[in-house]
Amino acid sequence: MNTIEEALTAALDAAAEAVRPGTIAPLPEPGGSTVPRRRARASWFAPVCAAAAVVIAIAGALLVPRLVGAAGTPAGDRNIPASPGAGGPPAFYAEAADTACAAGTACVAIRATTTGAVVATVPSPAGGNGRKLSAIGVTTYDDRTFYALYSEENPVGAGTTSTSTGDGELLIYRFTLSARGALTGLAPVRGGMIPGQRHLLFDGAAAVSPDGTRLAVAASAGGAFLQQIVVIDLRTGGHAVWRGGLERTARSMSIADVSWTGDGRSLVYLAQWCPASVRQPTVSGPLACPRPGSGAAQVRELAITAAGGRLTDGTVLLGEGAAYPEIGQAVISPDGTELTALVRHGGRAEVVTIAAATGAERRVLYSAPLGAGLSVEGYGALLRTDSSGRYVLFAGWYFLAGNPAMHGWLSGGRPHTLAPSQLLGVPVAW
Amino acid sequence: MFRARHLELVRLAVLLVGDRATAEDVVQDVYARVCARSARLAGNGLAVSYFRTAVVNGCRSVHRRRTVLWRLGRTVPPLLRDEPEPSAESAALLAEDRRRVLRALAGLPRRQREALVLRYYQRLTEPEIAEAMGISRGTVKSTLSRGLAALGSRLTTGES
Repeated sequence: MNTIEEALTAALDAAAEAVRPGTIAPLPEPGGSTVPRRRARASWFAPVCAAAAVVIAIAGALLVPRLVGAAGTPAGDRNIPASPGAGGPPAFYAEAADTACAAGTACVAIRATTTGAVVATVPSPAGGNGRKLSAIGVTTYDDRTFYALYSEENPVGAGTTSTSTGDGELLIYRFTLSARGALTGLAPVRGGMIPGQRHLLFDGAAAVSPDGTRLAVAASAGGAFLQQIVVIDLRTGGHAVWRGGLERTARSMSIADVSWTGDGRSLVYLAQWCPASVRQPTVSGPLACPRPGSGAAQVRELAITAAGGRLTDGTVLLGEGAAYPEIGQAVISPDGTELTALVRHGGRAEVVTIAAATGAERRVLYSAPLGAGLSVEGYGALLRTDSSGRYVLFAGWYFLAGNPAMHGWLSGGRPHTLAPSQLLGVPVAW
Repeated sequence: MFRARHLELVRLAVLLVGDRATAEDVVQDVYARVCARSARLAGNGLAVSYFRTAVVNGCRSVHRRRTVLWRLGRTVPPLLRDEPEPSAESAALLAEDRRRVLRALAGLPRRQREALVLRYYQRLTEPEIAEAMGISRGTVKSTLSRGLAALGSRLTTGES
C-alpha cells in the first residue's frame, strides 16, 4: 500500500467513525406499523410521468409569459390573488416552544407542516448554573439543517428585585433532521458564541447562507439597543462584523430581520429605530419598544465580504414613507429581485411582495385589520421564506384586531393556517 | 442481518453521499425494500452484498437528483463538503490532512469515488466491488487505478 492509499484508508476510516454507534436513528421494527412502505408503481409509471412532464413543460413555456404579463401590469391592483401555489411547502417547521420540553422548559419543537404533530424536540443546551435561557431563535436553509440560537442571560445579582438582567451571550447550535424527522447531531457551532449581548435575541434576525457555509446573526453591539450583523464562517468559526453608521440622535436602532440573496453575496436586513426615551434598555422582552412605528425603518442590502464593514456600506432597497408608514418584517427572495414584507397600509397589516429594484408593489399575500393603536413594527411578527422563495412562513401576534395570533403560511396569494392552530410557542423557521 | 449491518451501511452511505441525514434516509429506504422482499423470499435471507449494492444504488439516485437540481439552478451542497459545521467530535476525529483527502476524493467522478470507497473503506476485493457496482472486474481494476492517480494528482497540486 502506497502513501496515497494509506492516507485514503485513514481518512475514510476516520470519516466513517464520526458516525458513532447509538447516534443514528433506529430502524423501525419489522412488521410494525412504522415500517416504511414503498409505493408500488406500475411498470408504465416512469415513462408516463416522463411524457407528462414534457407536455407540461411545453405548455408551461407557452403559457407562462402570458400569465406573467397579466400579473405584472396592474401594479396598483391590490386585489388579493386567489390562485394557490404549486407543489408543497417544506415538510417541517421549527417552533420556539415555551413549555414543550422536559419539566415545562423552553426548547425548539419540530412540527410536521401538514398535521402540526411534534416530530422532534431539541433539548435546550443553554441555561443552568444560575444562568437563564431567555429566548430561542431558529433558522434553516434547506429544511433539514437547523441552527438554533439560545440567548443565555447572566444571573441576577444579589439584593435586586429584578428577575432579568437583559445581559448575556448568544450560543448557537446545529442539528439535522432526516426526511422522516429524526433528530441527529445536536452540537455547538464553531465560533457560535457571541458575547456582550445587552438585549437578547429578536426572533428572525438570523439566516444561513444558501450554500450552508455562513450564518448571519443580528446581535447586540454592546450598547443598549445598538445592533450589529455578525457573519459566522461555519467552516472556520471566524466572524466578520458590520456595525456602525446607523446611529441617530435620541433613537435606538435594532435589526428585525436578515436574509440572504440566492447567490450568497448579499444580505438584506431591516433596520428600525425607536425613540430612545421609550426604550427599556436593560430589560429584554417583547415590548422593548412600546411605541414603535418611527416612520424611518429601512430595508438595506449589504455586499458580504470576509472583512466586514459598516452597516451603511450597502444601499437602501425600501424605506418607510407614504406608501408604507411601517415596515415590520422584510426578506429578500432567493433570486434577489423581490422583497416580501409585512407593512402597514392604511388601517391594515399586509404581507406584500415588492420589486427590489423599483420599490413597486407586486402582490398582496395577506391582509387583515390592524388593532387600534397597534403597530406591525417591534417584536410581534416573523416572516421566513423557504429555499424556493415560494412559501412564506408568517407568524403575527399582538397587532391584529380581534385576532391575537396568526400562525400560517402564504403561497400563491392565499393564507393557510398552520396546524395546530394553538401552538405552545411561535413558528420561527422552515 | 440488516440490523447488524445498519451502522456499517450508514457509514458507507455517508462516504458516498457526503451527509449523514441523506445517508440515513438511503439506508432506511433500502431497509423498507428489504422488509418487503424478505416476506417474499421467506427465509432465504439476503446476503450482505445485496444490502451493499442496494445502498450504492440508492446513493447513485441521490447524486442523480442533486445533478438535476444543480442543472435547475438550485444550490446543492457539494459532496463531502456539505457538512457546514461538523460536530466537535467529528472535528476531533477528522484532522485537516484527512479532510484534505476527503475533499480531493469528493472531486473525483462518481464511479472512481465509489470504487475507492468500496476498496479502501470496505476493504472489498475486486470481484466484490464489481458485484456491488454492477461493472466488470476489468473495469474495477482500471477505475481504481485511475481514481488513485487522480486522487494523488489532486493532493499534490492542492486542487480539491
